[in-house]
Amino acid sequence: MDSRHPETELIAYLKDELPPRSRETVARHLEGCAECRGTLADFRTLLAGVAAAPAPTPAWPRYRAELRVRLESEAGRRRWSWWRRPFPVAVSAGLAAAVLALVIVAPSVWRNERTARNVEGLNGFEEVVLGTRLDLLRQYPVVERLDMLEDLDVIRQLDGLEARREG
Amino acid sequence: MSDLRPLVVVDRSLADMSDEVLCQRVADRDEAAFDQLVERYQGRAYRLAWSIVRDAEEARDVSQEAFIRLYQSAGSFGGRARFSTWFYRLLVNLCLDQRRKTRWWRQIFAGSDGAGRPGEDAGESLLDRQPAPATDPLEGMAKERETDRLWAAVGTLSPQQRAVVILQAQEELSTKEIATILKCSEATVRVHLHRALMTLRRTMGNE
Repeated sequence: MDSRHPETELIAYLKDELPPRSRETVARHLEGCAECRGTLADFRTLLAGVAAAPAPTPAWPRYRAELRVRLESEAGRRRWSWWRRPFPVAVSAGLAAAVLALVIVAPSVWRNERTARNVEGLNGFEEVVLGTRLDLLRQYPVVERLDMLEDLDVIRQLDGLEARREG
Repeated sequence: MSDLRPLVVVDRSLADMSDEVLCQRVADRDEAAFDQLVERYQGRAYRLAWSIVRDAEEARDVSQEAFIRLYQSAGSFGGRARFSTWFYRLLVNLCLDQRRKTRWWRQIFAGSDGAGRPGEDAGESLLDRQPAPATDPLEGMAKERETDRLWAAVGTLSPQQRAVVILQAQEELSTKEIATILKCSEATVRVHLHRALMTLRRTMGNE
């Protein structure tokens, strides 16, 4: 007889899950070990007792009716998952509108601002140019009376004309 | 009394189908196939849940939740294992989660673990209750007391040990199937079962 008591092997033996050789070994041990035979018998009795013990039993029609209600409410909840409920939809729509507005309006505002800055710059440039040509503006009454095509020589001499007049 | 009227009219052809085929049909949103599976498993699911959570209301809640999960995720049943193994895995996980969730307040309100005696379902009226299974071989008051003692002893086991004992005793599942359900090795299942039975043996005074 094998002096070592089978423990978990006893469970496998009970469930008839041992390979033939191990089963034989346990069977041989059981033949010579009253303690293990008693344990095995008790295990069988206990499992039979648990199998036969009555558990509370609900009324099945009511149980199924409740299950159906829960299933339907669960299906409804999944259909209206959080991101499809009214509040998140409103918030999301608001955010989307804000982003859209930003995308559409911001570039045009930026463009207008830039144009205004350019115009300002252009005006400044023109003033500088005009400042350098003030002498010509001073001769404006003379220029006004000239026929541009015929009196080109006079125009070319305008600066000299002024100098001569002052001299 | 209208709520006591059976809601399910079971299709005869469905009654002949295997669990696995029914589950495939549930994946295709076949309501009748779902009802058929509920009919087949409601008793075992509730009993298993009750054996683990030891509370009638929680057992009802958890077992119904398992059926809801079954309906929602029937498509993920690959057919590699038996349907029962797949479903029990779902159910046992829910039961163990439930135990973990309720453990802290059970400790606070110690003394009322909600288990009660089998058949004394606090959440239901007498009219709601149906007779215990006719296959109960225990007869007479002495045997009833023994049954009560046995269930009280089962109640002292850890949820995992209890699950192994119930799956073994009531469902007669193989060690491999129990290991799949509890997501552990076969050796662990045998150790759980051995320790659980030794504890029960001690508690019942057989040692």
